[in-house]
Amino acid sequence: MGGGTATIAALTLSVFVAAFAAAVLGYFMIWGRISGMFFGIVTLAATLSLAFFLGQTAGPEWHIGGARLNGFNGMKGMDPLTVGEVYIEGTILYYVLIALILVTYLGLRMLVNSRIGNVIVAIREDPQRAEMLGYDVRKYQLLTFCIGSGLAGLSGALYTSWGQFITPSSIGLPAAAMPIIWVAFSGRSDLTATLVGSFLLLFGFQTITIYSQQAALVLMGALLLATVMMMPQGFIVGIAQAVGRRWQQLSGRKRGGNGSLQSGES
Amino acid sequence: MPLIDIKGVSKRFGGLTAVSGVDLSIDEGEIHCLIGPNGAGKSTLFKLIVGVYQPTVGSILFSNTDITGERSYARVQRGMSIKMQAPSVFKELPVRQNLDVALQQKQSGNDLTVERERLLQLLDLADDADKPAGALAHGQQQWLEIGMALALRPRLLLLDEPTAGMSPEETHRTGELIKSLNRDGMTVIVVEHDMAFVRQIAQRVTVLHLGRIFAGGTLEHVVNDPRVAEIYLGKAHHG
Repeated sequence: MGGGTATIAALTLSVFVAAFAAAVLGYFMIWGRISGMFFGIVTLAATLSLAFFLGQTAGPEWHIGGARLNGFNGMKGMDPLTVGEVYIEGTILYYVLIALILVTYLGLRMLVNSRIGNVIVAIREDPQRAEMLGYDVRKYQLLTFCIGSGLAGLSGALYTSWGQFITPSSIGLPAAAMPIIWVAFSGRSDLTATLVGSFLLLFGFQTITIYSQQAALVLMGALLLATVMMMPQGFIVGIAQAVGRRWQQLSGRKRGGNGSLQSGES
Repeated sequence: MPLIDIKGVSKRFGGLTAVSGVDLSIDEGEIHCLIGPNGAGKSTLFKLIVGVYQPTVGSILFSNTDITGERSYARVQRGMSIKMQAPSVFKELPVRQNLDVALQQKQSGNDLTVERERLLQLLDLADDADKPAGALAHGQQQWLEIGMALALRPRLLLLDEPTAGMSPEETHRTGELIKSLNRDGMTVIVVEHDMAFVRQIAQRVTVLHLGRIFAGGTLEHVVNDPRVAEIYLGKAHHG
């Protein structure tokens, strides 16, 4: 199995299948006027349903081609990513992942700076106002949901390819909730903050998991609570803003010291 | 020819009837003011015109097309534009980006940049273009929202209390701006409490009271109606 470009084709397909599934689910939710926290609840419910279903697929009748789904035991022995005869594993996989993160980051940055991105950001701020400027908010929400899901599909396929196994527990509640914590902690209004914050949290999470996985999960929950109660705009964004304000104050004082009449008001 | 034709429109919220059997026709190229005491149904009527609410009964025609069931974005694409009662700008985004979101509906590239700079000058916001809109003073936010409404180059401009929080000088400038837009062919409907402002701009006035049309006509006709003075204009008329 595998070899050639089959695994790369599978990786690409994972993006489109996830985006298509999101398009179907998102269409019914968005056109059905489900919004706010109910949107999150429905997506989590869909995730749990799928995890529960996959747990029931232990029988031999559940397979995709020659690959058994194996219920709670999960699927094992998948090929690593391959290009021709080259296996993308270990150090090579590490650099490929870094390159993919950069490409994704730059792609999203270009999207945010585009005309479509302008509208998406405006909808995040105030959907009703955006509609009053003549935008069909539903289409942009669906597009955003599909892009996010496509990226989630990509990360899921890469995770599977890295460990060469996948079990239903990987799409359980902790796995679904963790990205929400990363983004909330980092600050959902800024791509760079999300990237930096997610890296820091994952690094911390993996380090603590070595000693106690339960402690790591509890710490993540505590971080989410702290974010909501203390810094709803996100810690990384909040810290960056505080540093920016301090910097402006200092540079204002310097200008004042040089005999300028400017007050240094920011 | 009427640009907007409201036929027998009522809007009920549970047991409360906010707008009741309103028939109102507004001609292309007119400046029409809606006045009335608080709770008269003026803002609800605005929201019915622009599609935020759907009428319980009745229909709304725009340029002879029935738009009653259409969503707001489709009505805006037909040529309507609204400035809400409370300033409704994208507070976290810079002033420049607020205008861009509106401008990019009709323009792109260099045309967009030129039009954005023209609007920033017109709105006296050129020095604040990079500030978050939420950091502007209340009056400036009102101006920015008017600018966003104008950026759509509408045929029908709806302004809900556009001068709230503005100084007398800013209010006068807003009036002159509306008159100049009207001279270029734009139809304007304004909800306003400030009678001096209404006197400055209105060609026709409709008085709403308890969700119904109470009186209508020229401003002089309306202010000389003793029933209107009794319900609403007392102080302004005699003051």
